[in-house]
Amino acid sequence: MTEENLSSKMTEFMTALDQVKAYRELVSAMADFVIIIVASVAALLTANIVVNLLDVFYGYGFVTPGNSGSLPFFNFLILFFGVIIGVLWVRQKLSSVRIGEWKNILNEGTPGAIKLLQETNWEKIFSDIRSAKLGFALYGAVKILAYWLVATFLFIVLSSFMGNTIHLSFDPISLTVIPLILVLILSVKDLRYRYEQVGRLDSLLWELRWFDNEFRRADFQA
Amino acid sequence: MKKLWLLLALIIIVASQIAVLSSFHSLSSNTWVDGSTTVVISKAAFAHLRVEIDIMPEIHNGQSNTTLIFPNGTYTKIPAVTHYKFSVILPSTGPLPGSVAIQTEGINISDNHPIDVETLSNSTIFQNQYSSIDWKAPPYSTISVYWFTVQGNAMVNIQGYGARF
Repeated sequence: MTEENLSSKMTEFMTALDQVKAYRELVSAMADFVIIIVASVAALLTANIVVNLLDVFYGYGFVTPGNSGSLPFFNFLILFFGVIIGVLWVRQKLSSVRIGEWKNILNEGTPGAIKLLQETNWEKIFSDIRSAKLGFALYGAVKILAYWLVATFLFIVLSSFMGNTIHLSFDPISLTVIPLILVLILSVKDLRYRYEQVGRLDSLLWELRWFDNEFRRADFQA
Repeated sequence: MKKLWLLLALIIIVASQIAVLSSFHSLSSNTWVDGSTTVVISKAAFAHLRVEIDIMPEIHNGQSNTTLIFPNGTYTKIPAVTHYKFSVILPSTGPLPGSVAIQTEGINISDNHPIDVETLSNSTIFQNQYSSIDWKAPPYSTISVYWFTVQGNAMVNIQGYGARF
């Protein structure tokens, strides 16, 4: 293997590892995302309890037919901002992952590449890829669930508006199933991307095993 | 691990909040009344009920012929205004053992339906029944009832908010 070959293969390898590192971060960011969404639901329920208490003990009349759209609208807003904060938090976490730190070492040529390989913990990398695969797929599912929740509340607001204006009402099943179908249709691209990416991570795992093997047996030429 | 505990705590909070929210009940009715109509407000003893009543009397030549008659016989003539509003509050008398289920003329109370408002165009059966019932003995001691009669033509809008505590 020539130095040029080694350098190009190492660049390819380290770039793939950077991607795995980012996806690995997704596992921890996904936990934060779920916490943010559940906290939004808790905030929404707190608001609903306060509104009901005000209605029962002070007669504010928030939950009246004339106001039927206002409470679901505030619920929708709370959830909407919860999901936005969650998604931004995940993106910020992903962008804070340090990538490309190996470039300076690789610029040293063969000694740099060998140093990088020696420092590589293969078992950890293989385990990281497995976690990344799981995190990447789960984050997609959790994100769709969160979007579904937001879409359901938006649909409730719209249906109460339609009920008040054109007297069109939806049964509870339609209120949950229609938003789910819409969210799935809108997420088809993301689902396909995740499916392909999980497949790529699988291939990467096998390629790296081969890569590991090849480099262990390689005969370096200056 | 800390995140897992935080998530668990949040899930417990959300579950408790859902339980609290399920103890709230609301009811609403909008009825055109003519002649003599009795409005019966009832609730289970363990529930707190607040009812907002809005009476819009029919006005002829700037005069209203609608009268509000209370159970003790006192009455008030509703002035010729667009909205005549008042509230009825039936506070909780505390938790009671056992379940509540009373379904009779003007009253429909159960564990799952602890607050009720009904408008009766023929109130004779209800008033006879009301005066013959021993309200201190079970099962009627497990509910509270308040009623009034609207005489004349009016639109009666009722909003009720209740909680099981």
